[in-house]
Amino acid sequence: MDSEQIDYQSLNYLSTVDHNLCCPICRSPLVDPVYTTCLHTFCSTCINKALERSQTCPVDRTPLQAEDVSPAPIMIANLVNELAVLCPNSELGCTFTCARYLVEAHLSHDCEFVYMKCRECGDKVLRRDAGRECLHQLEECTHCFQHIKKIDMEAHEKECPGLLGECMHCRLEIERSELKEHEFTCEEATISCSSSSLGCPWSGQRKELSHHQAACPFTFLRPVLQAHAERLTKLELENRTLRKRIEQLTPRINQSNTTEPLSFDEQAYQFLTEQEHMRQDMERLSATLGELEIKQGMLLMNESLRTKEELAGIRAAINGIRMQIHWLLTVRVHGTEHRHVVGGGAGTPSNSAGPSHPAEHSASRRLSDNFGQGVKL
Amino acid sequence: MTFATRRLRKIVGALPPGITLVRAEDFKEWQLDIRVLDDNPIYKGKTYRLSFKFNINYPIDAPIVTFVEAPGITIPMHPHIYSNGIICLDLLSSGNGWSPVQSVESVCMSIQSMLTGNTRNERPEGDADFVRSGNTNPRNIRFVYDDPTV
Ligand SMILES: [Zn+2]
Ligand SMILES: [Zn+2]
Ligand SMILES: [Zn+2]
Ligand SMILES: [Zn+2]
Ligand SMILES: [Zn+2]
Ligand SMILES: [Zn+2]
Ligand SMILES: [Zn+2]
Repeated sequence: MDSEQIDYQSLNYLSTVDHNLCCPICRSPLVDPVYTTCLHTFCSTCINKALERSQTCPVDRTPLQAEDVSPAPIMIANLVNELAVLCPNSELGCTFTCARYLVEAHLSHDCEFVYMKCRECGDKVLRRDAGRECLHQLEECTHCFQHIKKIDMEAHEKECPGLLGECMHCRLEIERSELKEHEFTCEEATISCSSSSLGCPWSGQRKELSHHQAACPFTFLRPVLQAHAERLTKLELENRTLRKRIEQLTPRINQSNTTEPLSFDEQAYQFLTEQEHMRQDMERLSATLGELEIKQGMLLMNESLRTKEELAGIRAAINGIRMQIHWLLTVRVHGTEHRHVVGGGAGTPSNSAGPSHPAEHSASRRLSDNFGQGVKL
Repeated sequence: MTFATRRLRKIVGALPPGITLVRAEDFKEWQLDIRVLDDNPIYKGKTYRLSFKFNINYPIDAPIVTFVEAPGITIPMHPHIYSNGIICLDLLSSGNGWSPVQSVESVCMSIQSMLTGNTRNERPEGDADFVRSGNTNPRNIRFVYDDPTV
């Protein structure tokens, strides 16, 4: 095995390594440590790669050339070389641990898990098998009759389809290829109740399932529960659509709410104020009406008073005339001389009445008074 | 195992506060979420996602680091971060900015402090033109690092 093929940077260390012994570029314990003129320490491969990219120290960015790098003091090299590591083949099964600088020797001389060339056919073989006969010859599998290389036989036996396997439940020996299928029908395989989705906690061997199901309350209730579940999903769906619709409607209600919520009170208030206005109007109107009635009454009274007086005047006049007619009639009956005189002066009764009877005098004077009054009116 | 893989394997352990590993299935691309730890109002309560692309020479070569979008995750506003996620950070330039002693954690922390110290809620000048030009490889861009405030 070539020593150059050892990947020191991926070695696994037995304990965590002080970070002062680690390279700041690869973050692993230093391999072939070097230090720079600015006194920073790196693995030699790491700093060389970094300098190919940029001619500065990766830590402090000062200018740095390849010739500014020299091997680190031997003490540092010893510290990292003596760190204990696992064999790089530990994953293959090697349990060897040693100081790092001994790994190379272990791999080239001792490690059982290093591939070597077969002495007979030249094929790859692990060191632990290299001393025996050639393991690359074909051999017939005694179970499935396939031809397999001896070196692969161990792996084949784990999956040989012809090999009998034991059922882990009923201990029955059957061919491995059928084992999986058997598992689905094995009477002793542990299964859970077919109503476990509904919550039945039972689990037991398959052969006991029918016995359990005869008494399983979950199995009895299964149709009911299923119907319920269906109904529930239906209701949930409906609920969701309804909620969506409510959400759509809510903004609209909110809008109308802002204009209408006071409506009842406001309307009542409006009615009340209107009523109050009307009541006031009514009061005013009735007052006016009263006034008008009084005025009307007074007017009527004045008018009727005047008419009454006039009527009285007329009545007096008529009385006067009647008396005159009466007097004239009596004169006509008592004498004929006077008749001519009276007939000639019919338009002026008061003048012609002067020389008449004293009893009649006051009456005629009253008459003329009444006439004077009537003319004045 | 490559040099880059070996080196990357070493940091999967503890990450600094505010930084979480989201995806690291291979050693070609990693995604990490970062949060700004102080009360900077521009980034308060927000998480951003960084994508690291490594080549086989990491850490000799710088990784390509960009912000990426994800459901609920945006590209942070910053005068040195383009809206397509490209970050203008000296540390990430493959010239003399990057150093092989840098690491995923140190890059994350530098970007964290770049956000922490920022007070300008804006994109770099010419962001729209830059993004339209379709340049998504930060290595092809010559950044100007002339702004000492950020
Ligand atoms: Zn230095
Ligand atoms: Zn190194
Ligand atoms: Zn070994
Ligand atoms: Zn052989
Ligand atoms: Zn077989
Ligand atoms: Zn069985
Ligand atoms: Zn049951």
